[in-house]
Amino acid sequence: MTVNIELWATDGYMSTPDGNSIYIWGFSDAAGKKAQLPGPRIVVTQGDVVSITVNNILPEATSLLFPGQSGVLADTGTGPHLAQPQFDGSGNLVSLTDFADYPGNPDTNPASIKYTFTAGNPGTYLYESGTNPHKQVPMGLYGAIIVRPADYDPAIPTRKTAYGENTGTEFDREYLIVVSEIDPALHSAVEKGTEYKIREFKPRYWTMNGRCAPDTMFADGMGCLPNQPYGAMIMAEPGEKILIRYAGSGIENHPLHLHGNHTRIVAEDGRLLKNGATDLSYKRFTVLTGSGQTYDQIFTWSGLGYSPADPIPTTVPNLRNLGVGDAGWTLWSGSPYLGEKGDIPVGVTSFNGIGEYYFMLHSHEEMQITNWGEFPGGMMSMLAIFPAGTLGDTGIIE
Amino acid sequence: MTVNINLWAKTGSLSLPGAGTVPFWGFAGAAAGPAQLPGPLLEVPQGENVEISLTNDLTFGVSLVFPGQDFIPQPVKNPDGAFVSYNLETAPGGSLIYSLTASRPGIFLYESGTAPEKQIQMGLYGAMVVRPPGFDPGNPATWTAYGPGTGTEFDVEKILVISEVDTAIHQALASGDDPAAYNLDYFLINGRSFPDTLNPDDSGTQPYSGKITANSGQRVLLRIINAGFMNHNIRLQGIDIKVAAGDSRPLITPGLDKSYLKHTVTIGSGQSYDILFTAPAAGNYILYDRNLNCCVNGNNFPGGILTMVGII
Ligand SMILES: [Cu+2]
Repeated sequence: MTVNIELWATDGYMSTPDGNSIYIWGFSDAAGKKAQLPGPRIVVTQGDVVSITVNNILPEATSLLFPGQSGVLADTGTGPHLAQPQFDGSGNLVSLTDFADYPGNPDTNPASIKYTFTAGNPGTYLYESGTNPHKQVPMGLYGAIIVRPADYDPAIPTRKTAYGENTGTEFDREYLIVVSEIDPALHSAVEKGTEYKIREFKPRYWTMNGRCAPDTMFADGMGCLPNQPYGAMIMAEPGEKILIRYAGSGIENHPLHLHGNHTRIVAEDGRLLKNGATDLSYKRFTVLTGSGQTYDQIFTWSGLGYSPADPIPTTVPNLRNLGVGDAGWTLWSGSPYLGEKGDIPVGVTSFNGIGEYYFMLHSHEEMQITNWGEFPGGMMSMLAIFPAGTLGDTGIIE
Repeated sequence: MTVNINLWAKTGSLSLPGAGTVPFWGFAGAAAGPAQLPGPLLEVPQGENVEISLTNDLTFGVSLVFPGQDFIPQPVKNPDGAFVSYNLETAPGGSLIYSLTASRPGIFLYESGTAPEKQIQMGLYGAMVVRPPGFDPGNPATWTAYGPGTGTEFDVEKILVISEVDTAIHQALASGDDPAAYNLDYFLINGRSFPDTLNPDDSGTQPYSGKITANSGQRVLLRIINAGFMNHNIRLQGIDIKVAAGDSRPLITPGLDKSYLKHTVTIGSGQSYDILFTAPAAGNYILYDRNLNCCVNGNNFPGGILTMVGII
């Protein structure tokens, strides 16, 4: 199948929970729309011929690299050719790949470019700018691609997989978390057209899907976050196979861990960790999400099965001894049992819905769970385990 | 049998794009030769006893350590019991022999074990490749990284030593001052920053090219070893790479293949990866650090850890 996708490289603003509004460059999926962070998710199927056209309305040239895809062709109107690093007449490298020029540049190329490749392998991939990438990627010109295996069929459990039938990658729900950093000084310098020194790079915000905690835990498509459409909350029911796809679009490596759970890494950079019959997948508590790399993990939360009828064989601490009061709010239900709610200390607000469990998911470089120095914030979200039969079709990426 | 190698520790002068010349300390392979970055590439057959005679032309003690290799370091403490060096020092003006057994094949660092936070940053490191049994430089049919049954046959081999330079620290230490605040500003492949990485081998202080050249269809072995202090995320754009060994432990052994495919590899400080690929269609493929702040010279892109794989 041929899939045609149009992207616009443009500008916009992102919001942070501490009230900041930060200028970004990024991709949108319609003319006239603001840039979003990260760029639009692209979901295709293995074997598809994928054509992505970038329409550039930024004040400088831009481009796309597709790490993990091979044989990418570029076409600026003169016919497709192997995408290549670009040099100027004096032999200076000007772009890591063929680019779309900025509109109105009198001497050179068109302001749009079409890249075409065959999605040869299933998996999780990034797309990102290859032009002034030290500036354009941190500014927001990146997004993620999910390639479904050729035999993918969400109606058949053995074919609802990340890497194909019989690869041990069946899942019930899936989530994609793209992590990055924000140095507001870079964004402000680009907005004002002032100088920025890359050696002074100092991030103040750390993002999951372009959002800082607690906004990471909001649903997709919140009206208050118009240019950050993707939530980063993981929700599942006991016993389900949960697929989490991490993608590191920033320039730092981030040690992400999920409290109380070990995940099994089944693929890296969109390549299944399996050689013939040899299973190379491995379990981790903390996944060091390397810059520019992707990690697909599958795990199941089963719990211990206690209920009010089969109580936990220990004394549950007294309310006064639970540290839930200081912040004035909690995600705790007031009960240790899934699907049950109980008393909450006076003056504390519980945001727990129906007795679900929460497990924190965050960067273990703890300074990264702040918003400009204020904890909590930054690269932090939650895994929420809901009672069986309550989640509906949450957690399916279209 | 014993392989005898002579090294000299000396001062020298690096050329970095946009920074002019920068003083450094490095190893030379001849009494009259210049200090070079990285130090001379040492090549020895597996199983040999290696004796490296180090002559110290610097004004302070230096030493050698061989991480991952079979040697017995003799740490040095001062009379108060404070730690001074990871291994016996060669005094200024003196010389000393350091021994190791090249007991397994692979790519390794040799580096100073004395004040390494200064001396390694200043350039006292190099790479040593240990050849498996049966390796005959004159017979390409015998070329493997780890010997038969390890899936590491190759037609083209390229060693890439990754590191960093803080030019302010270099200036300060070369003048005998205390180092300034640590803020790396140059990022190197084989001692060179892009675009110098693309120049061919030469006989200067940074003699090793960072460019990889192969014919379409050839089996290419990249041996990337990180002599710097940072972790680097090395990406080969547009080519599937197979990780065949980490820290010179082959991932393929008879009956078990634990190699895996990637496009970007995080190489920790002091670590190495052996990477294999089959050269694809003719063209230029970029190899660079996905930590994009390391693709600069000072504040300017492009530079740093960036080079090309030229497929003909
Ligand atoms: Cu934690």
